[in-house]
Amino acid sequence: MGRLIGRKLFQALVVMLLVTTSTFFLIHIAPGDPFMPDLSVSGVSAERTDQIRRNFGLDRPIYVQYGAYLKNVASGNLGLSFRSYRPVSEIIIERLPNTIVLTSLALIMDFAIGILIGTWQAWKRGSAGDRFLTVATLTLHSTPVFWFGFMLILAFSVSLRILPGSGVVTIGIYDSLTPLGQLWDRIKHLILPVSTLALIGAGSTARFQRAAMLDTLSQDFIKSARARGLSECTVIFRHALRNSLLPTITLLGLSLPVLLSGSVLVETVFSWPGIGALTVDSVQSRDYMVVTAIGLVSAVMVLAGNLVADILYSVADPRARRKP
Amino acid sequence: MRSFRWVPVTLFVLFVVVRAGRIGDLLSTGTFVEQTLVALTFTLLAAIIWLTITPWPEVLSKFFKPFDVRIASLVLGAIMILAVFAPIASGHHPNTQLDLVNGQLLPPSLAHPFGTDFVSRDLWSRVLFGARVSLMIGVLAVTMAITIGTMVGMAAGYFGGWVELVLMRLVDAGLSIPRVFWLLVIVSLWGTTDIYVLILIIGLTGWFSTSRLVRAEVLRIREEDFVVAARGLGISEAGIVIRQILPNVVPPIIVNATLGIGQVILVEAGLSFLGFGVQPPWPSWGTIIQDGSARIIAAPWIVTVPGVAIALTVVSLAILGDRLQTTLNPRDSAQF
Amino acid sequence: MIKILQPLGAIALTTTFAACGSGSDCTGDYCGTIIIAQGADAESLFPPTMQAVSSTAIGDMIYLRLADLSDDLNTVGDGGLVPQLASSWTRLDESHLRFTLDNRAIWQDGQPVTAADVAFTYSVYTDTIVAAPLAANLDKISNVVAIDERTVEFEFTTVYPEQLFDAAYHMRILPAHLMDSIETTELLGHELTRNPVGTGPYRLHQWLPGQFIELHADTSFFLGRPGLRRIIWQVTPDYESALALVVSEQADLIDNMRTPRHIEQANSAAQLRAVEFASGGYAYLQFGLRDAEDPSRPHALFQDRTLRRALSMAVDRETTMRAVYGDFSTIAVAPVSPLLSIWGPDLPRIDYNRDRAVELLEGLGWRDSDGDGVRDRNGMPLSFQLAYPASDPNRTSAAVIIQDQLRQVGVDAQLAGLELNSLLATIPTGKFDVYFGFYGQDPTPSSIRGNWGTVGIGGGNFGSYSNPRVDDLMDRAIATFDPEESRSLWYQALEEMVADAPAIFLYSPKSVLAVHRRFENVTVRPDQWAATMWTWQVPETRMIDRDKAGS
Repeated sequence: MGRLIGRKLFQALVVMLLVTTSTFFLIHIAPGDPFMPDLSVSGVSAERTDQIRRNFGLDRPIYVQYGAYLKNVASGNLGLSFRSYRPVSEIIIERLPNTIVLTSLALIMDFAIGILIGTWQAWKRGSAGDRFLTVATLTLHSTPVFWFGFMLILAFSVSLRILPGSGVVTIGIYDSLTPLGQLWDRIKHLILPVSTLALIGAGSTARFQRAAMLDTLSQDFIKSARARGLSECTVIFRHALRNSLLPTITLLGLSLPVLLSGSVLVETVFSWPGIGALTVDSVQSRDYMVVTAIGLVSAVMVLAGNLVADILYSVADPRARRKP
Repeated sequence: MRSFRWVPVTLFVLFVVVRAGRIGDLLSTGTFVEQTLVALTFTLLAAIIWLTITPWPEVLSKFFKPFDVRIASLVLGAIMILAVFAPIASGHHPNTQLDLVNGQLLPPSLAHPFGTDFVSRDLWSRVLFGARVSLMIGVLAVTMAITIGTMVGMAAGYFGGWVELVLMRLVDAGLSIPRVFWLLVIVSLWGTTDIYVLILIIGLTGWFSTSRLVRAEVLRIREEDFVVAARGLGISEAGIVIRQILPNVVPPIIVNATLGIGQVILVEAGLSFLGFGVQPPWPSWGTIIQDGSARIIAAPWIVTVPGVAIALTVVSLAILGDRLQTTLNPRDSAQF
Repeated sequence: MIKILQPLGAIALTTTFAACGSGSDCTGDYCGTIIIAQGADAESLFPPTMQAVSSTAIGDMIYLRLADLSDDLNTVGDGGLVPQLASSWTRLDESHLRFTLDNRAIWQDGQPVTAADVAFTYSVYTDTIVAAPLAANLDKISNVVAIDERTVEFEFTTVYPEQLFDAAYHMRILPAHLMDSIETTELLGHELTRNPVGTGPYRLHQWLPGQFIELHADTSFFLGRPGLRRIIWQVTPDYESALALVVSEQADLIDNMRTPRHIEQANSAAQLRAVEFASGGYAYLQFGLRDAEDPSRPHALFQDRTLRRALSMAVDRETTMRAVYGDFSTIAVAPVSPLLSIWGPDLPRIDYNRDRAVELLEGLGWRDSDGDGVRDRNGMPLSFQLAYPASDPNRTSAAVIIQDQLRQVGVDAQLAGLELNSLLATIPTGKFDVYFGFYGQDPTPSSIRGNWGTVGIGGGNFGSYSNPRVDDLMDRAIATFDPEESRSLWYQALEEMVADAPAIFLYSPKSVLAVHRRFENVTVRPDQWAATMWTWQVPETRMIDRDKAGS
């Protein structure tokens, strides 16, 4: 177990180095310049942009910049933002909680709904309900996530006006609410973005769970359990569900990058001040250091998710521990 | 089931008959290269599927037996035909601003089945031409991703050792960053208004999972009896790769490609929505949604129509992909 | 035991209070809260490096200048500005100005504002490491000296009528007592750029990046009590979501409404009203007068003045403008935005006249000899590339319309929608035929010289237009102290320039904002609509929940 974690950690380090290197060069070699003049205002001054480049060390050769960057990252320094001269780590830490709340709630809801639906479908396979849900989950799985968000906003914020469609809290009155009211205010703002991410994700989770469950139900130990005269409920929930969750755990690790991709779009649609919205912002304003750091942070999140999935898997399935 | 095959053909003939007078348009439009590409690639894909299942005609009818597969093929077939024959079926050029003064944001009507957009362009025409662009991006980018992914996966799986180590860590790195992030960085910083460069970029960021899949297949097949036997017979390594291993990894790749096209269409839509995808005046389903998202309250139909088109296409592709999976490798059919 | 319980009691007490609302309701006429839906977060609240509108509007609420523009936006002479931190100023001689600071002015931490603050501010703005965007506007100031606590003197290198404007307007005064001990390199990212201490009517209450920036009124502000208690900028990157917030009364104000459709939507909400005002920008089609491939040679087509004039007459600006902006724009008659004091409807212009355009083209020998619909001369078609930024939907649709108008007179304009990188690679280097540009003009006419004068070649004058007589008139217009003479010289210069047609001057879109009707005393200064927002008010009878909500 310890060796497994050690090996995985080492692999993760190698991957992180690769990610940092590739994003660094992709960004720094890109044509154009973060301090491009604005054609619509007069007084374009080359000296000024040269000076700003010097302030951020962009006048040095690329390999020197890269070396300095690696050294800084190793000591926890992610550089300065070109837009505000602030430490990038500060900017990321400000935004990270919002994204973590959004994605982790979405992940929980995604798996809860997905496993529930998938299990039910496998249990009642072939029924009208199963066929309907197959189409429904497939449709969710195939819907553009930002478009789904727009549809929810149209329905619940614009037409019905019962749920807010943007932001984290109701600005202007949040401070004067009671703690309970504040909590409710936050929950109201979470409902639409979390549902958008979770429902789209639940589409594939349900499909996966249904297949895993069917696979388990066809195995011998289930047959023998049935033969022993155990009730269908006991068979499904006591024996089959536990075993079918194993492959679904691996899906957990795979879901994270998809979820983060989705959060870029969902955060933009719902003006959610997280890492995803920051990505779009920084890429547009060519805030190189912030963009590089986001690459690194999302890699860390994904790798951590994979590691957790690996550990869970090996805890749940003794066979996996012996595999090389 | 035999009659099913004639449905798309009948639809096609009907179209040609109805708009026979304008068949010349098809050849005279400037975007002929793209439409040929779309048609060619789809024919190729169909041919591959056909070749894999042709020797046993009953397999074919078995393939199309489930109701959802038939519906999906019909929907996809109709969308493909409309896309390839968009210049005939559309009625307007997708970028023509019909009436800037009185024709902006008209709701759906007989003259404009899907309404018009904010500069009075006919949405029906734009969605049809958008289908071409979106499908073309899907097919070309996936073809590219599959090619690279297969080569990398085979190399890693077959050679093992440090080749595998290096390639698989690269794949890990690629998979550990959300794809949208890669695409945002490359497309926005390297800047492109060229659709083929966009396809290249989407293709280059899409091969990671394919190579993982192919590698796993190769690892499995490498130990199979017939490969061991072939090696015992003294067949060269290259021969084994081409004759024994490649044909056996084709089925999962086809499944992967079918599902991949749908995913690329979704990715393109997301990118275009953020303003980094297909650039105007090219209409893609993503850019139409982006145009519409700026007028979602005033004209909700602009956003709705291409969104439904995307969902229909991707669902159909997913159903066909699933079906191919069950038909081509029944062993894994219980898995995803 | 009691000692242990005390903190617990305190916690219980706090919770109880929090449970009944953390503050009592606000009453009276100064309670108003305004929420502004804004597209981007502020970058930094450090005045020297603020550039985006999202930062400057907020920064101007917190930091003051020595003097501000008055409503007529006059920048010339010593009488045009209204006092802010400086209560008065006197001219010592033609290159020295002396300011007396308002003795009521204090920093938000209680310290008095001193002349040393002004001198320090000048040193920060001109520090090369800071690289302030406005530093170029200060290059005619040679020295700033603190004479005593409340008196500061500016020295200029040249004599010109906009000395006061340059000295008093560009710099927002910084707190020397907090900043001068900090290294310049540290200062740029210092805590004070996030938690500013200023002199203005509002102080920063809370800034949650990506969410909102909340300012609270400084009730003892020395120029009068601010009318609104709270000003909150809510960050909403998607324009349509921002509009939805305002329409559904979750926010109170949205600016930058440019299309008739948006305005219609705002008007459909009963609680909103649209306020329109002149904007500082104008759109133009600039002719590249040098060859696009080899800038050492003149352009094969556009060196011909008559051809440029003919093309100007062939473009129907009125129709184009209406199609793109509806009623919300005016025709630009010269490179002058309606903001400038010299603007007037009688400025020289070349009117739309299609028949005359055709006549001129025929006269120049441009005829369609091969029947392809495009005029040609000596085997060369009258065809050129029209470059525009593909990212701008308004210019994109206008370019399509103009292309069609030119085709009707046999001129072939090929559209080239360029993305930012290629735009920047071609336009400033003059490698284009025609560029569809848009200038956001600052409030002083002097900027015209940088964009259309010989001095601007290699800088803002992308098309390399050069006419010594125009240069001379502009130089004299900028140098004269007599406003009437200046105006007449500008008119002569513009008349000559417009006759040369270095560009087709198209239109100036108006700015429109939508604001909740409960606000009273809503005045808007066109160069910066938020400049007078601190005087807006909500009468107690019209208050809604967020006005009353305590905090």
